[in-house]
Parts: sequence; structure tokens; C-alpha cells
Amino acid sequence: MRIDAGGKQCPIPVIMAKKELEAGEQDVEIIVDGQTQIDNLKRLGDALGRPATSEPCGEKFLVKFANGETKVGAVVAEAGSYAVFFNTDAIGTNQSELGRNLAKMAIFTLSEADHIPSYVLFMNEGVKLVTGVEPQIVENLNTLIEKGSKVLVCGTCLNFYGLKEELKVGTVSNMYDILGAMQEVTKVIKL
Amino acid sequence: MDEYYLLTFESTHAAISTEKLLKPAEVTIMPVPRFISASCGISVRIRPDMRETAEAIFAADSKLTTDDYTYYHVIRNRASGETQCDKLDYIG
Repeated sequence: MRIDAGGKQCPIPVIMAKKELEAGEQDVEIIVDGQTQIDNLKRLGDALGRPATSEPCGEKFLVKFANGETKVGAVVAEAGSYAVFFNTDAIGTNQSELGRNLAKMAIFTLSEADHIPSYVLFMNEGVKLVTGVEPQIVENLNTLIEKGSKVLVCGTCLNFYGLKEELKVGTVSNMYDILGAMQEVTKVIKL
Repeated sequence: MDEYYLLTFESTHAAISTEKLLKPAEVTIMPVPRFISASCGISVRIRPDMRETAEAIFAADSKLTTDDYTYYHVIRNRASGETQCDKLDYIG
């Protein structure tokens, strides 16, 4: 079946595709506008055991999911794995200069740690941390990515704050992947 | 091998204002390393290639006195965990 998600922003195409894949539909194809949607759909495909490929289709793109059985249910957490969640651009809720400096130091400390987080997640005002205002944060997160962490940034939030073009590090992501990451690890640390 | 210069402070405000002052020297902040003890947990780290720039800005524009901060030269061997940390003279 073919889904037309042209003109739809994330996470709508992911929601549309997920619904069909989980219903066991085969030959699932979806038309989307751009790379962000393609990347999100590919991650969805990998997570569900139905890997996706993409090809240009006129001015848009066609993402095709492999046929087969859709994986449902739990992902087994790696022992001791953890995710760090930033939902503000500071540690603490008073948005102070101190809080922002603490956040910066926390990311530095994580980048130096022996036991790195599986995920570093940014949502709501947390996305302001990854827009390059603080080059130190970008550098430290890139170190973490090199060491194997995944950095997921809420696309809805970047969009809301008009920061989509400013993203300097990490992968534009969505509620499914961010909540999925939290469920995949054994503990989530909210800073 | 990790080599850097490090400023530690008596107060958090001094740390934050110094970081802001030394931004043009591309300094970063980090928690004061465990091998140094200080009353404030924020330290400002200076890359060796930016040392002169940072010191020049600090000497010209910082209002801190020698009671407010301590200056170190740190060399750390990541593999062995061995650390050499020398206290330096005050800046300016």
C-alpha cells in the first residue's frame, strides 16, 4: 500500500507508517518531503525489523519498507545502560546563568566518563543546548558520539523555537524514538 | 596526553564571570578535577595554544585579585591516569 505523507512534518509520517506496519501490512511505501522524514522512517523500520530504503520520486521521496513480520514489544535493555535527558537548557528550573553553566559542565563530565550514556536526549528548551551557542557543548557531544552515544534532538521542539537550521550536533528525532530510547535503557537520568 | 591550563576560583561568581571574559580565548569550563581541591566547583580550562591570549585578556580586564583564583598547569596521561599538576604564578 502507498501512503501519501507529502507536506507532512515529523512525526506525522512516522505515525502513519507505524500504524500500517504494526497492522502487518506488506508492500508499505510512503511519500515524504525530505531527509528528516526519511531518516526517521528508516529508524522506525530498523526498530520494527522492517528496514526501509528510499528513492527520489519527483520532487519528493519514496520510502519503501521491507516485507516480513513486524517486530512488536520490548527491546531488551543492556545492563547498566543509561540515558541522560535534558528538557531545559539548564540544570534546575530557574533558567539562571548558573544552571546553564552546570548543564555545560555536566555534558563535559559525561564526555570524559568511562561509562558513557547510551543516549543523550534533548526536548523542549533543552534543544537550545545543541544549537552551537556554546561551542563547548557541541564539541563534547561530538566526543560522546565518537565514543558511541546517540544524541537525539526533538524536531518538534527545534521547529517550535525556530532553531531547525541552527542544529549543530545530534540527530533530529521524534517522540517515538526519544521515548523508545528511554525504554531501551535501564535508567534515565533527568538533568 | 592531555595538557591544559586551569583557573580555579574562590567563588562561583568569579568562575562564571571569568569564563565569560575569556570566551574569545575559546576557554571551556569543567568541574574542578578531583586532584585539586577548591571551594568553588567550576574551573576554567585554557588550551595551551590559547594560553597567551587568555592571560593577556585576564591581565588587562579581570577585576579578580590573587586571593580570588589559583592558576595551574595540568598534564594528564589518559592511558595511565597519571597526572602532573603544577601551581603557577598569578597572571599579570
